Amino acid sequence: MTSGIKRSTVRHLFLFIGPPLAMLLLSFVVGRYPIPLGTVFKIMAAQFLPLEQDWPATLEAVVLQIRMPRIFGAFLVGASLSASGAAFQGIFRNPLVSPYILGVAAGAGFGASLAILLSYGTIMLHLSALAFGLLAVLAVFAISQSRDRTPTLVLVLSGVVVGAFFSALTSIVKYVADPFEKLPTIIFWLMGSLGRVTPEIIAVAAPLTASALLALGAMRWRINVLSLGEEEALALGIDVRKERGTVIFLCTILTASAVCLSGIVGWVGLVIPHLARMTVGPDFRKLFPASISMGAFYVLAIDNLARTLSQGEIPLGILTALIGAPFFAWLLTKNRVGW
Amino acid sequence: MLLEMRQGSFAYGRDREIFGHVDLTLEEGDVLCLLGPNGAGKSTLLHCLDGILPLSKGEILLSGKPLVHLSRRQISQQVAFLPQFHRTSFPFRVLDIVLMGRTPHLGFWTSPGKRDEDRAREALHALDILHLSDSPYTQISGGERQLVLLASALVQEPRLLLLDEPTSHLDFGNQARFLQIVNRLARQGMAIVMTTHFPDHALLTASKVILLKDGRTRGGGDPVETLTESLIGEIYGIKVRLVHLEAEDIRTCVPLLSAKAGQP
Repeated sequence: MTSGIKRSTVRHLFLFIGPPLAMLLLSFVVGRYPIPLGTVFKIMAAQFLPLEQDWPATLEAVVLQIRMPRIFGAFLVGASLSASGAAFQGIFRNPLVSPYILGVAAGAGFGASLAILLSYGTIMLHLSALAFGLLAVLAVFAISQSRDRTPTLVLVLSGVVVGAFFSALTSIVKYVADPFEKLPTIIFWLMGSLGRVTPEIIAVAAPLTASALLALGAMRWRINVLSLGEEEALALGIDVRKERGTVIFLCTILTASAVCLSGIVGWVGLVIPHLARMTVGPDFRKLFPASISMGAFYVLAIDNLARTLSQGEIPLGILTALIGAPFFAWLLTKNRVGW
Repeated sequence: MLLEMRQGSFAYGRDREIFGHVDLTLEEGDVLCLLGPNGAGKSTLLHCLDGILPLSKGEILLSGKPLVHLSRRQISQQVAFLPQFHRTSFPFRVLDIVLMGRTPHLGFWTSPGKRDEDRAREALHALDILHLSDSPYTQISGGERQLVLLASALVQEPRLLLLDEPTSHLDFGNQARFLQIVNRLARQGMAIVMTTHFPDHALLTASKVILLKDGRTRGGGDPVETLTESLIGEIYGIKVRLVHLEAEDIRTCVPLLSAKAGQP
């Protein structure tokens, strides 16, 4: 029995780590300048070891300045959206919930549009997106907490309301923006892209994401119990309001920092948790690592397509929806979606 | 005294009172049955006893301490609650559903371990459903689900077990088997509060009964003294006869209807 558990744990670990790691390496290789894997390794190693440089300096810049931040960005975005999507679907007991349900994307979208309209720099753009993303979720909380008890449905509906409000604000910004210069920037931002990720942003986002993921992972059993429903969780000793609030807070940190990195990338947080649940079942102890692994893999793969399919760059949000939606439809027709 | 409610009342908002002025006491090994027509407030009362709904007046003492002073975790270490409606959610394994019952004894950041799993398996074994361990909870029968939820409540190691109409979704045989388990648990010293629609179930298990109608208690105490033909008839608005099977010392309650088809 014990060795059986161990063997399956090892197998799971391999399955969770193997594919995203392979995709990560592949992502360094593909692109407008294909770079052999050996050269990638040598460039990496040269950062720490005294290696003689036998590769063009441009390649080094491509690997370290362009591809590396982008690849880390894709990894963080995929992991964050999928993990928070899985957690939200659990605590809201609703498999159709995405991490954007509480308005974080609509808020962040408005924040970014406003910053572009006012010609703020990159840092301010990120801060503005983050601030308005958090503000949207706070507003959702304020609306729903005004009642004695907060059924999850009230939270979700408040999210829809706040999301609609911020979308309208974004439309106003688009309406008044200069149509030749700023409007395209806004629209491109809203469609999502990892092209803007810089090492500085990664340096802020990576520790934030990692700590939120760790905390969420530590709550994996609580999330299981919360997914039984409010009364059942209360009867099992869960302080539902506080613990659900903590999960929402952690997911908001994850989603908001993902939106800051990449703009609004849809479908990842909805489809990947489903795929993960089909693979390992609904137990969050397994669903959580599976979602992180599959989400990171998926966004890495999609971003590789986004930057290799055409001469220019295809917005990430378009590809995730273009591939995610039909795939989800296929899951539905196959009746493979178990919840 | 394990559990005591003094002059308990519950109301939604200002004036929608569900029940009022309820007194009850419970010792270890007691089975208290709550009887009453639909909408009498039985289920609400049960939720109040677990602190899931707060009393609007009066107080509840659990082992002498006011329930309102205890945290959810402290309450759940002593009280287990079996809801009337099945938990339908994601297709968790049966073993995982039972493991959920260990939550009150786990730290905030911890997941159940090997020992907890062993306890869950023991509980399933004791209820003869160990073979269901790996089945998805959503794909077993209603009777099996009820037993799985009971196993989950038992690994909680409660001193007090609250059962909300536990037999309402069960067939005749499973009802009897479930009531047998209730009696066994009570003999082992567990205190049980159970709501039911069937006076028979109270007569088969209860050491105490409380009748609720329109939010008021109508008699309470010893089941044989309380459950009279006239009181049952009045509460439910029908005519009944009580029969005593002397050989088995079991009482049963039969509704009196007018002649059925085929009778003169």
